[in-house]
Amino acid sequence: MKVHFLQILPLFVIGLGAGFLNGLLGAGGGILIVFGLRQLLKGRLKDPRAIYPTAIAVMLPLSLLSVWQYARAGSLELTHLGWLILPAIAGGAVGALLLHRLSVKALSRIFAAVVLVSGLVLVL
Amino acid sequence: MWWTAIIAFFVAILSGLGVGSAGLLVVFLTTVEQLPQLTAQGLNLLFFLFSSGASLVVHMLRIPILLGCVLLLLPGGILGTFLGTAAAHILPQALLRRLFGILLILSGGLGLFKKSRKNEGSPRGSSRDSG
Repeated sequence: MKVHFLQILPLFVIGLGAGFLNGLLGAGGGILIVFGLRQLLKGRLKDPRAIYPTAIAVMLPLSLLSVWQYARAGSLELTHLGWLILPAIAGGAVGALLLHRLSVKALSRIFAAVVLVSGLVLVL
Repeated sequence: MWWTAIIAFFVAILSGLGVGSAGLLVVFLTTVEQLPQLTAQGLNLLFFLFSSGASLVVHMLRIPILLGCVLLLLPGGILGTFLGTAAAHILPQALLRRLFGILLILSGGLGLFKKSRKNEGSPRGSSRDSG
């Protein structure tokens, strides 16, 4: 798929927002990219699922940059990291492998409800 | 600490499945492990590197990425990352926590109330995010 030159500015702005959100809150940049690319490329993709690995491919280097910035500012504490690395790798791979075998629609709704309630707990 | 690993495993599965992790690990680390907001955010970023790195490898074997979009999103993303991390270290942590809560409410609300899309998005109508 070719990117039209008129899409360069919107893509820059989407990237800017995603990077800002990810740096500010340590999460959320991927959501913005998925949402932005969906709107920008509506009906132009042979396989719309390509948006998701694309968002991850953008967020990986940006997260690495954020981690570096957090480390420079002394905000990175690695005491819990040992408990996170293996589960993260194993869980990420298992989830991606299960993607084509599970119906995740109901799971998505349950997850969204959990996220919504978690957000309310933090805000209220 | 072992339950941190169990929670991390399930959050990573959700992330790999594409229903998103949406910083749920941050909520766990701040509420259960009582870590400061900024520390939890830093750990969540590190967690994302490993979980999404692993899922990206699996995804890329099946779905091609849009390389042109990646290259055009990165310059703004790099600038935004510098601005965002700088703001994170200026703003009070209580405010960051609230902003994070608002992000979760928006993210959860979108996932909960959006209409199903036919042939758009992930297979079987899943709601996916990547960070």
